[in-house]
Amino acid sequence: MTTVHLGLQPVLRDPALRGRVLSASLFILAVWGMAHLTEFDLIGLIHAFSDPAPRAFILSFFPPAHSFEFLTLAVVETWRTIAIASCGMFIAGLVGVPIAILLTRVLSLSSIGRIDQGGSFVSTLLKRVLRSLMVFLRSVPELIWALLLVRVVGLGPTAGVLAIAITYSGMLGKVYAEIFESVDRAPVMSLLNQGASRLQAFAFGLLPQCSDELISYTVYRWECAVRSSVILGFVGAGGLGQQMDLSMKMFAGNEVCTLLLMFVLLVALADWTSKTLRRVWE
Amino acid sequence: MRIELNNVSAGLDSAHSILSGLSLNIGKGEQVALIGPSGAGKTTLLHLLGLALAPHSGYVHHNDRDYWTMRSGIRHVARAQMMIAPQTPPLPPRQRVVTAVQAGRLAYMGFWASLRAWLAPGDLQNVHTILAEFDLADKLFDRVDRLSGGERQRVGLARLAWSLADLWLVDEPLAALDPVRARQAMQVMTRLATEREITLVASFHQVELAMEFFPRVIGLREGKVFFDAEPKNIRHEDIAALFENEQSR
Amino acid sequence: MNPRLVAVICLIALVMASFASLDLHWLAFFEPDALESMGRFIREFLKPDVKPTFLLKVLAASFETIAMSALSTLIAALLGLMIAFKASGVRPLLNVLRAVPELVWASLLLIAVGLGPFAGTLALALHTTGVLGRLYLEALENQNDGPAFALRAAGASSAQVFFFGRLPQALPQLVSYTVYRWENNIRAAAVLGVVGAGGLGQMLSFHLGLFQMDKAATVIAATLILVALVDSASDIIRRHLG
Repeated sequence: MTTVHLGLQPVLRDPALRGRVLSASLFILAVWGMAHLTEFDLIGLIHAFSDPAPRAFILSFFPPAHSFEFLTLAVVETWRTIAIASCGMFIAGLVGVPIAILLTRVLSLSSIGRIDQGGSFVSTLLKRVLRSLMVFLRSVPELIWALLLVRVVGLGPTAGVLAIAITYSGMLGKVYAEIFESVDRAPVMSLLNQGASRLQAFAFGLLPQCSDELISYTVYRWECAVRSSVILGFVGAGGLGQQMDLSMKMFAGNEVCTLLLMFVLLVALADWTSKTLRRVWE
Repeated sequence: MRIELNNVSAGLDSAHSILSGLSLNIGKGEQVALIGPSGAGKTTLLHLLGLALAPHSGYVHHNDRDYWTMRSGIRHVARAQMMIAPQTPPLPPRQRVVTAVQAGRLAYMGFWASLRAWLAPGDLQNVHTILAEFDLADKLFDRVDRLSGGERQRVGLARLAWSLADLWLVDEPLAALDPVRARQAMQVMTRLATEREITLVASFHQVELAMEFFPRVIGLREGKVFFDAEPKNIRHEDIAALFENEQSR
Repeated sequence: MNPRLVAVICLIALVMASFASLDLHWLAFFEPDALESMGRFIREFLKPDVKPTFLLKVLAASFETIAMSALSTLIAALLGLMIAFKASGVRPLLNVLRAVPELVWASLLLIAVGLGPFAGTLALALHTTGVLGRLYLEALENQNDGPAFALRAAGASSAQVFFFGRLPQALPQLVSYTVYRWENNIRAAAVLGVVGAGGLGQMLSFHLGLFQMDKAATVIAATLILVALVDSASDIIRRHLG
C-alpha cells in the first residue's frame, strides 16, 4: 500500500491504479494503431449500408433462388463437397496409418528389451524426421496448399482432395500415433516377442484395442474436412464453395442465400452422420 | 425499518414449507437475535425479511408496505434499503477487499459510477476507516482469496457496515471467527446499528454471545417461533428444549 | 444385421462413390508438362526472395495480418461479452455467426466495404463473436451464484450484478478463451487475404497468380513464423494467467 503522510492522516493511494492507467493507455494506443493498420473505417461501414449497391445485394437475398435447375446444381455441388472431403480423408488415412505405425515406439523392434534406452539411432532419427514432417504438413493452412496445388494441377476437385489429404494426413498421423501409444502394450509385446512381424503385432495386438477411438477421431475429422472443402472451393477447388464464390461475383444474392442454406444443411448432415457413426461404434 | 410478519409460510415449494404460520413484529432500530437448531428456518427467515424470498401464504410488511403485491421494479428499488450478509461471504475470490466492500453501496451508484468503482476505486479513506473497525485496515488492497476464512467473514461485515441499508440481516456472522474476534465483531456490529438506528436481525449458533449482546432473542424451531423474549427471561430449560434432538437431524 | 457392418458398408460405399463422381485427373499430375512445371516451382520455391525491398513489403503485410487478428479478437470479445450479458434468447444469433465460416463472411463483406483488411477484420470479428459469445455464456452460467445473489438482494442493477458478481470470477477463464481464439484468428487472418481481404494472404494470392514461386515461398515462410510467434505468445499469456 502506498501512503503519503500529510500531517496526521495518511493519504491512501490505490497501488493498482498506476498499472491500470498505464495498461489502459497502452491498450488504447495499440487499438488505435491496429485500427489504422487494418484501415478500420466505421463511418465507411455505415455508409456502405445506405449505398445502393450493397443494399440491393442484401435485398436480393430474399427470396432464395429456388428454380429447379439451381436447386439441382446446389445439391450436386453439395455432394461434390462431401466427395472431396471423403476422398481427401481416405487418402489421409492411407498415409497417416503407416506413418503412425512407424512413429509408435510400441511397435519398435529395435527397442525390444531396451525400453528405457529407446530404439536404435536410425529408428529415432526416422521418428524425429517424420514428426517434423507431420508438424509442417499440419501448420500450413489448407487454403495455402490448395492455392499452390491449383497452380499445379489446375482448377477443380483434384486440388481440393490433395490439399485435404496433405493437411489431414499430418493431423491423423499425429493423433493416431498418440492413440497407439496410449494403449496397453502387453498384447503387442507378447506378439513381437514370439517373433511376429510388426504388421502382425499391429493388426492382432494393437488395432483391436483402439479401433473405437481411431474411428471416432477419424469421423470427427471428416466432419471438419467437409467444412474445409467448402472453404477450399473459394480458391477454385470445386464444390459448394466454388459455386458460392461464383454467385457472389455475379451479385446473385438469391443464389448465395440458397447456397448458404445448403451449407447449413450440409453441416447439420455431417454432424448427424458423425454422431451416428460414433454411436454405432460404441 | 419496521417489519411485520403475519401467518407466513415460506421456503422450498408451496407443498413443503420451512416456515409455517410465522407471525412476528420488529420495530424500527430493534436488534434481534435468531437462534435455533439447523434447518429451523433461520436463513429462510432472513431471506424472507430481505425480499429475497416470497411467502407462500401470509404477508410481510416493510414499513407497512407489502412489496410482493407491487411491480418487481418497485420491489427491487426497495431492496436497496436492506442488506443480507450471507453465512459464506459472497465475495468473488479474485476481487480486492476495497472493491468488495464498496460493492455494498452498488444500489446507490449509477452504472458509470459503478464502473469507475470497479476500475479505480475512490473514497479510499472512508473504506479504510470501516475496515479499521474490523481490524482489517492493512488489507485494503489485498485480494479476497489471499485472506483467511475469518478475515473474509469480517470483510463481509465491513461491506454490510459500508452499505446504506437500514435493515441488516446477518446469517451466522461469527462462524469463522475465534472467540476474541467474535466478541469484537459483535461489539462493532451492535454499536454501529445503535448509532445509525438500523434494525438488526442476526442468526447465531453461539447462544451465549447472542444472549449477551442482544436485547431480544427469538428461538426458531421447525419453522415456528419457539420463544421470543428478553434474555433475562429465557431459562436454560427453554434453550435445551429448543435444541432438543438436534443430533438426530 | 450388425450395425457396425452396416456402417462399414456405408463408409466403403461413400468412399467409392466419392472417387467415382469426381473427375480427378491424377494422370495430369504425371504428364510431362505438369512434372516439368512442378520441378520448376519446387526449384524456385527453395530459393525464396529475400531482397530487402521485398522483405519490407512482407513485414508490412505481416503487421497488417497481426493487426487484423488482434483487433478482430478484441472486438469479438467486447461484443461477445455484451451478448453474454443479455443471456436470454441470444443463442440463435450466436449460432448463425459461428456457423458461417470466416471466409464466407469476408466474401460477403467485401461487397459492402470493398477490398482490403477492413473486410477481413470485420469478417473475423463476426465469426469470432459467435464463438466467444457462446463460450462466455457457458462460462458465466457455470459461476457460483453466491456473490450475484447477495448483490441482487441488496438492490443492485443487472449490470452491476454482472460486473461485480459474475464477471470477476469468470474473468481468467474468459481471457484464456479469448487468447486461445487469437491463435486461430492469426491463421484465419493470414489466409483471408486470398479473397482480397488484405494481409499476407492477399500477397500470396497475388504472387502465386503470377507464378512467382520465390516470392510466394517468402510469404509462406513469413506466415508460418507469424503463426508460431502468436502461438508462443498465447501460450505464455495463458500460463501467466495460471
